[in-house]
Formats: sequence, C-alpha cells, structure tokens
Amino acid sequence: MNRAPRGLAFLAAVTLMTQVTSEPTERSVYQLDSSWVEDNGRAIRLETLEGDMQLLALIYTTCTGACPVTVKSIQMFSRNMPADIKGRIRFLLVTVDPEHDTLAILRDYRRDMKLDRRWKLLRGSPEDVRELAAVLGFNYEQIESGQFAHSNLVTVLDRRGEIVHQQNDFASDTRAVVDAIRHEGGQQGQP
Amino acid sequence: MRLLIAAPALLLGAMGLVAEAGTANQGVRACKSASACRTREVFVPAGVYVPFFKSGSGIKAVPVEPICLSETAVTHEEFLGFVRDHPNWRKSRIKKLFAEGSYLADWQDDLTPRPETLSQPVTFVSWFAAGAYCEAAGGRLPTVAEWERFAGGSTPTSKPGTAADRGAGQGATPFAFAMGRSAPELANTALAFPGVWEWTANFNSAMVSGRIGTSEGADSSQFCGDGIRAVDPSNYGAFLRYSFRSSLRANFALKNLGFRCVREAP
Repeated sequence: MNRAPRGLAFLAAVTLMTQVTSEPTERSVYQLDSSWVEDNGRAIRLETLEGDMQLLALIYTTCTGACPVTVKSIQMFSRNMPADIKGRIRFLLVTVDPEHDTLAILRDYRRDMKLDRRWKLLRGSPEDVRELAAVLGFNYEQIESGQFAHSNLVTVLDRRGEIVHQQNDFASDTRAVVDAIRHEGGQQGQP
Repeated sequence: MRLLIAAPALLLGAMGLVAEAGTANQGVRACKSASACRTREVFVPAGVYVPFFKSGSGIKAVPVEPICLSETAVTHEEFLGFVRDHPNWRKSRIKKLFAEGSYLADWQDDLTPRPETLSQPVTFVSWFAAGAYCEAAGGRLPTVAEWERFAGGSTPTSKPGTAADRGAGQGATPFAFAMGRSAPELANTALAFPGVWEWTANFNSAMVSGRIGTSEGADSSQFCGDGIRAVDPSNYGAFLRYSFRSSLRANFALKNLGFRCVREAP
C-alpha cells in the first residue's frame, strides 16, 4: 500500500529536479551572462555549475595576505567535513587578477596548493569578474601591480546558484557553512 | 555601517540641491579632440586622477583615458525609451538578481513614469539596469576614477557643513580640480549634477566599510583607519561618496541614486 505514494513522491522529485536544472531561478547568480575558462583550458558558463552546491572564493595567486589563508582553510574544511555532508559541495576559486593569472599560472597554483578535482579554478574578463564580484558583494581594487585590496568573503551557492550563506574570515568558524550545506541537503528536489 | 552612511545621504538628498543646468560653456567642448563627442556630451581629455585613498606605497595618481561624458544624468524619459526597446528591464519583468523590489518604484507601471518627472534623472535603478542602459546606448558606466576626476572632488579647503562641501557631497557642483579649473569656472559648464548620487562601473572597489563582519580589506590591514588612510581627510564630500559606494550592492534601487554614461573618446 505504500507503493503508490512512494512512487508519486519519486515522480515529483524527478519533476522538480528537472525544473531545477532547466532554468536558473530569479535570484540565481547563474543568470549572469558571463563566460569563463577553467585552468585546464575548458570554457564554461556559470549555469553548467548547476546541480552541485559551490563554495566560492575570489582570490589572486600573488596574494600574500588573506587569500592563501582562505584557500588553506577551505581546503582543510574540504578534508574534514562531517561525514553527512561529504560529497555535497564543490569548490570554486575565481581570480580577480586575470591579467596576471593566466591558465598556466592557475595550473601551477592548483599544483602548489594541492587542490583536488573537486576544485575549479576560473579565469574571466575583468568586466565579468567585476560583475560577479558585484553580485556577491565582494569589493576589490588593484592598488598597485600585483596587489589588491579586497574583501575576504566566502560564499555558499545552492544547487541553483542562489546565495545561501556568506561570511568573512572563513578560518575562524565553519559551523554556519556546515549548516548551510545540511539545510540545502534537506531540501533536495524543492524548487 | 550602512545605516550610518545612509543618514547623511538622505539628509543631503532632502536638501534638494539642484545645479544650474543648460548654461553651456563652449570652452569645455572647444578642444580639438572634442569633435569626437556628440552633442550633450562633454569631452574629458586624458589625465590623471589621485584616488581618495592612499595605496600601499603612498599617494599614487591613476592615468585616465579620454572620454565623452554625458552632460546630464539619464532621465526618466530616456530610460523609458530603453525599457520600451528592452522588455526584460521593465519593472514587472526584471529578475530579482538584477534589481531589488524598489526598482523603478516611482513609476506607475512598466511604461509610465510620472509625467512631471520625465526630464529629471531616473532613480530607483540598479547597477545592472544602469549598465545595460549605457551598453545599449553604445557606452558604459564611468569608473570611479573617471567620475571622481571630473564630477567629484571638493575644494581642498572645504569643510563639513559649508555650502561647497554640501555640493561636493552630492556632486551637485562640478569642481573638477584635476582639470585645473576653479569652481566658479566650472559652475558655468554644461555639466549638470542634480541632487542624486550616481552609479559607477566599479562602485564595489571602495573599501571603506565592513559590510559583513569586520574584516573587509583584511589583507595586510590595508584599509584600517579609513580617515587616516585618506589622501585628504578633510575632503568630506569624497569621504561620503566613497562610503556610500562601498555600502551599495549591485541590485540596490535607491531613491537618491541615478547614473550617467560615458563613451571612450574615439
């Protein structure tokens, strides 16, 4: 007797999942009309990230202050995530210095920082980076060659590309990030 | 922090400062290269802009390319033409990512601004909408450097509370010291800066306030002690503008915030 409702629930879930991956929602960052290249040379658009949660940080490779700390903390987080949220989130680094950070430099960065396949490193035009940053509320400015003043902001995007959590100073406390991932996990299949 | 910034903004807005428009000064457009600019644009020759904040190694002038700058902020009427041609930017259609709920709040519906405001600057527009308008018009939003260099500024001697300073805070009077012109001269140019703030392309470059948490600009504590880092801490108008910009988000649609476009001089 339980068969029918379960079947219906399954069908509903499938339908909703299909909707999720068809068109970005009104608040989805993936509506931005921008194009990016991964460090492996593959061109991607943001909407192709749909389906996975993303932990997103804007960085530049010659940064000696906050960025390496942020990246290292995210990496530590990625290795020590609670078991129930493992595999639910990917990691996205976008360079704010596309002029300097060529794909080759990003590949070196991936190697030096020991970033595994769950990480994507993206490079885009200065205009597209500025737009993405504006949407996230990430402020940055080149103050001299190879040096930026910038926010220290980490963003969690849900599977549709909507911002579900943001925080500065990722290193200090990751509980809110875990909560955001858990919450999204509990909402599987909802539009 | 946003509240703190908004208060002076509203105060200044309430003063309803209006610059004298339409008193064209042929001198500005008489430069030879100015022929590249259209009517109702002002040619701004190449030059340098000294940012309000010191960079890592001290005061550093930023080179600015020549541009054609619109004399006036974009009006309701002009924006109406844009949304007629670009339905995705109408208030009923705009996506939430691109503008908050107050987008074109003073319009009666998609294509109906209030008749008495037609020739006034359009406000309640988001950064995205402003950028899209300029792109459709063959231009773009000015950068902070471009805007500040020509439209912003304040007299080095202006103090908070003086008439000159109120003007600078609102951008109501075009001083443009970087061009080596004195305030009285520029008061006669065709440039009009009515009582609204204006979007810039890289509004999110200012590092004044910590919007989330307190560690914004934490990289080498570059911007701790904002007033101390300012090139001219007495430039109250510039401080207000930089603070205001840093409190903005790209989807904000505010009553006192409009925009104008620039084109790179051919």
